[in-house]
Amino acid sequence: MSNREIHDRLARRYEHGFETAIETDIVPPGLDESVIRLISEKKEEPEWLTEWRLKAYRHWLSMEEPRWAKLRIEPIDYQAISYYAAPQQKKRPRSLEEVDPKLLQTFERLGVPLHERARLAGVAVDAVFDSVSVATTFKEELAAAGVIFCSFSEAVREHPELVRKYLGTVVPYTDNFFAALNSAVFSDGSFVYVPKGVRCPLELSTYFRINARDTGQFERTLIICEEGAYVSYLEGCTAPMRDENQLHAAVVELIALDEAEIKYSTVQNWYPGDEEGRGGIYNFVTKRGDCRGRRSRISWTQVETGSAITWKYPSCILRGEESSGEFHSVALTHHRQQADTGTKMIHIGKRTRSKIVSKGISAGHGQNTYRGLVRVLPTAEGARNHTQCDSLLIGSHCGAHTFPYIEVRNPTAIVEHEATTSRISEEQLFYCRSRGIDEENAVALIVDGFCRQVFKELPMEFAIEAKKLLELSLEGAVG
Amino acid sequence: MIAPLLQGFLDEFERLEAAMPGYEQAWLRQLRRDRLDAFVTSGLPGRREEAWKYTPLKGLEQRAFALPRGSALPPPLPPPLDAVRHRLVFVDGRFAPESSRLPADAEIEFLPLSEVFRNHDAAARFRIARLMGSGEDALDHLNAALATDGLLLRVPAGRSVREPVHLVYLGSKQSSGRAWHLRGLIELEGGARLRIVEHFYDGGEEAELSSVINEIQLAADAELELVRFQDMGARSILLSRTRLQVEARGRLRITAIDRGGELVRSEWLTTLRGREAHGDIAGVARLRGRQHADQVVEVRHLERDTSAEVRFRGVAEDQSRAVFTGTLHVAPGASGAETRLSSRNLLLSPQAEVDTRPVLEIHHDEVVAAHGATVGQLDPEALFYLRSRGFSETMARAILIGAFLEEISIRLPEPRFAEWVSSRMGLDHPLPWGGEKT
Amino acid sequence: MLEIVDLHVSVGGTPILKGLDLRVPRGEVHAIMGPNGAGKSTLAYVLAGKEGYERTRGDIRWDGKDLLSLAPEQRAIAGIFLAFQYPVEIPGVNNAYFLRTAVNLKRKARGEPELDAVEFLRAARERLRLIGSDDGLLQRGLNEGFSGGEKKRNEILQMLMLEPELAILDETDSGLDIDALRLVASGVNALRSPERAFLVITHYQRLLEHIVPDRVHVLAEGRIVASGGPDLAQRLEREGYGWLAERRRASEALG
Repeated sequence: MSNREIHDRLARRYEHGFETAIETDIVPPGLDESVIRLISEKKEEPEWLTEWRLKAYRHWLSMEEPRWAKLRIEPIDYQAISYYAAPQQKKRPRSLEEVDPKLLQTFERLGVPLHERARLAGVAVDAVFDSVSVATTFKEELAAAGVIFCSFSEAVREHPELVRKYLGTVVPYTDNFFAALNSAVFSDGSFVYVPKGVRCPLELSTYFRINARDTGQFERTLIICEEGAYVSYLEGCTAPMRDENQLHAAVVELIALDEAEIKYSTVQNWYPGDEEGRGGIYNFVTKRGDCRGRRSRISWTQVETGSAITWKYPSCILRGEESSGEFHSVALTHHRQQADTGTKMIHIGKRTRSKIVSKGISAGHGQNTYRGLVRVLPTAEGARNHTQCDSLLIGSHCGAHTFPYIEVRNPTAIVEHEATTSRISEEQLFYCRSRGIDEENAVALIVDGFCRQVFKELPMEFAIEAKKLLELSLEGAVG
Repeated sequence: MIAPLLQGFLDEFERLEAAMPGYEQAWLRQLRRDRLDAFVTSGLPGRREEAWKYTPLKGLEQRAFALPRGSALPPPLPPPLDAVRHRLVFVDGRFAPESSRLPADAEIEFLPLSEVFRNHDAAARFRIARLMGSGEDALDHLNAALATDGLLLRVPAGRSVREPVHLVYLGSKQSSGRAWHLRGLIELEGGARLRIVEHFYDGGEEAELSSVINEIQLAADAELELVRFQDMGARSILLSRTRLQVEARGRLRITAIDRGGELVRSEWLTTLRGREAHGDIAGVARLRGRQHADQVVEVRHLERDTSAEVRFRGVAEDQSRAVFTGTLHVAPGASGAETRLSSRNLLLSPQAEVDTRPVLEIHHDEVVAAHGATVGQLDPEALFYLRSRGFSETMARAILIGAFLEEISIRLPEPRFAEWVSSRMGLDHPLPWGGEKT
Repeated sequence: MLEIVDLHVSVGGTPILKGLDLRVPRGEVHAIMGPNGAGKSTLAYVLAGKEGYERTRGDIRWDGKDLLSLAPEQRAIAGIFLAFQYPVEIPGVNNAYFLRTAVNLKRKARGEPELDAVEFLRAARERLRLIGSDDGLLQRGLNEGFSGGEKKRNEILQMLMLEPELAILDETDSGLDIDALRLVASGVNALRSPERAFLVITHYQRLLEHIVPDRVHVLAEGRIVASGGPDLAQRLEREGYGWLAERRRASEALG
């Protein structure tokens, strides 16, 4: 097979591996205080934010990289990364019409609805290209409902009081190594504010795209739902295929006040690297939701098929009485991919509830780890948790691991955890085939069934995309 | 500055080294010194060490313990041990021949480790050098450096020992702040069968630190049933580690009950090395007062068609803390392995805590692996039902706790022993007209 | 027409079928009876193409084509259907979705338009009535948590929807009460036509009271040892399989 053919085949498997040729404003690799001041300056940030970044940076210097129990990882050279890359645009676009057509084409190719399709789909989109947000759709419609949905940079300019009030209150910059790094260098991301009593009329969505070489992406997302408000937010992500690893270290903070509800869904499809494990994104993300209000609800749903290494634990702090947290996850690792993902449910308030459904699929030499913490504090009278953790192994060289931590300090709490490991049985395959379904489709069907409980949490469009992604990622896993 | 516990052990070692059995053996002298060095370098494990996350020992470094001196009179043995035929008693970390019995027809080869330290041929040296050299964490180092006795026990190929062998580990508690250590090796040769009952207890409420590390090897087709009843005093710290290796078709059945002690760590590290090797490991932690027990089970499936079943039950009352970590590991290539674990716990007081970590590490697809864990309470409906039938709340609770533990306690051999254990655990079920015991 | 000639099949090196001959023309229902361990299920699996069943000699032809060279899914598309004795559970896979996929794969192969969800549901409901079930069966996971009887009915539902040309029923009667048995039989009878062949494998005669076969064959020790009309099934029910062994021993002694 020629190199060309091989490349074509690989590209088919990872459909989003193309690169956009666009002039980029890029800060040279390396990190020190001057780089942070430069990023802050480029973004025309107020003094307090620059200071906050610098404090985070100084704290980061005192920290050590986490030691991963179950991940094999090449050392990261933090001085070889460029911390800011932005497509050059003559001026800040005021509407979609002013956005560079090349960028619009890129998102069009990725299937991200920025134009008419967006209207049909009824989804408002914020598109982030490398370090900056390039377009946000439906802003007027949302504004009419009182919902703020914009890029993080814009929020800093237009709604500094909200940003200042909530930034870092769920994930302080001292939280962990990557959260500290993100706090120092974050470039853009999305900001959502849903005022009291408003049910956000559209699904909100952010699409992250890494394009430039040797850059890291450090976005920051902040979502605030006031009393009785509701929002459903989706994020998707892709990157070109490159031989070297790229770092993605995002921070997401969710705040739900009394009776508010936030649904946060992710379909993560960063470039996973090739079959030998060359290249791919290091996806080290801190996501945390704070159920501050009584009866507030936060639900995380994730489908993780991309990245060379995934390290993320979307968590819920269940502070408000009767608040509830959910985590629904599908993580797939194929070839040399490694995923260490799970959640933390911290029960503080009375009668708080949490539910965890984790589905791990390992194929090839993939290593898949569920790591989760359920902690019930003495104050959490009547807390309930149910965790179900299933692993599916495809082939005899992969691994599936489960590391739950259950810590209970209230004698009225009930915590239940169960985990199973299985594989696709010969009987199941034969049964499908005897009904006319070939092996590859039978595998897809069985895997889809295995993930059903999680997929049904996703909005319809995303569920279909997730299913397709899974099929694509599993290509060649059997046979 | 070096922590008091480490300094204490260094000083004690210096004072007592020359009197340790086998001091005249250069290799052993060197081994003890190396391991003491390694221990002092690493120190006791803290919270950041994953395996000790819920039971950090760092705090102990601020205390000091002295090694036992002279031979102590053993406290009286508990009644179920009176009539047993085979018993090997260790007091304060030393073999106590006067309290032990092992008739010549027992078909078991037994030697106290202290004796073998002094006097051994090349083959024996190989065995004990391996025993003293194994393991690489702080506990292994500490124990290897300071253990001056233990047991070497062997059941020859094909022998089936009918009467159980009772191993009795006890502290005399004649003075406060003692530390004693034991290390042992139990070998079952091909097709051998043995039953062991381990007893841990001591004679008082003095502070005490002890460590017991045993290696147990089951050759092909060997069968071992091991029951442990740990009933140490309220201020005892016990660190125990049992490493078990099971060869092809070997069968292992363990029932481990932790009832006593202030701070107890019980590790059962099992490796199923041969095809169709089987391990069945069950345990109970019944904790009250300020007790802290950390039970650790690890089963490594290295070969095809190995199987394991692990069941642990924890009951935490008062200010106690029950910790459990159960790891099922299936190695690449271990086709047909079947492995299951359950950890169920009752949390019965607002000041108590249960921490449980069931872990699966699966490196092969053709396996059946599952685990489950629960933390909950006694069923209030059942409590009410019993009380409406005339049982006091205390009795009703004891009955329900007894029922919760039954699937494990039913495994205890010999009614006399089972009754004793049950009464020590406060689980006897007096009939309502029989008068209440509390 | 199904033609099996001198078929020898081994499982894990152990010979199970040892020279089996059988011809089932379209339009006929043939019953295979025989004691436990005779090789009845092996025959069913070999026809459907299960792995691990090794043909060591002989042929199977369907309309003159070599059946053994086809993958299981190709056989399904070609019109072969096996109603499993123990249908496997596939958690999370919606029963209706699965069945519609299978039906449409077959329709596509035949160049027919695919059924949309509404058309499918209409067709499925008609057939569900026939076997005394309702929509509930469709909405669940594929055989997930089904009772024994529900699994068998689901197999018959699939058969009715897939409209096979050769249907093999492997002990479909086992574990069914008499009412369920009647419903299953009425499902099969509804499908009888000059274009279709049926191979009904059963241990007992009672199913054959409801699905009257054209021919009855007795399979024992890997071969067809007797063939006859429906009365053969009745004789087997009365006298068991013992007399056949007698007869064979006698004929072997003579030969």
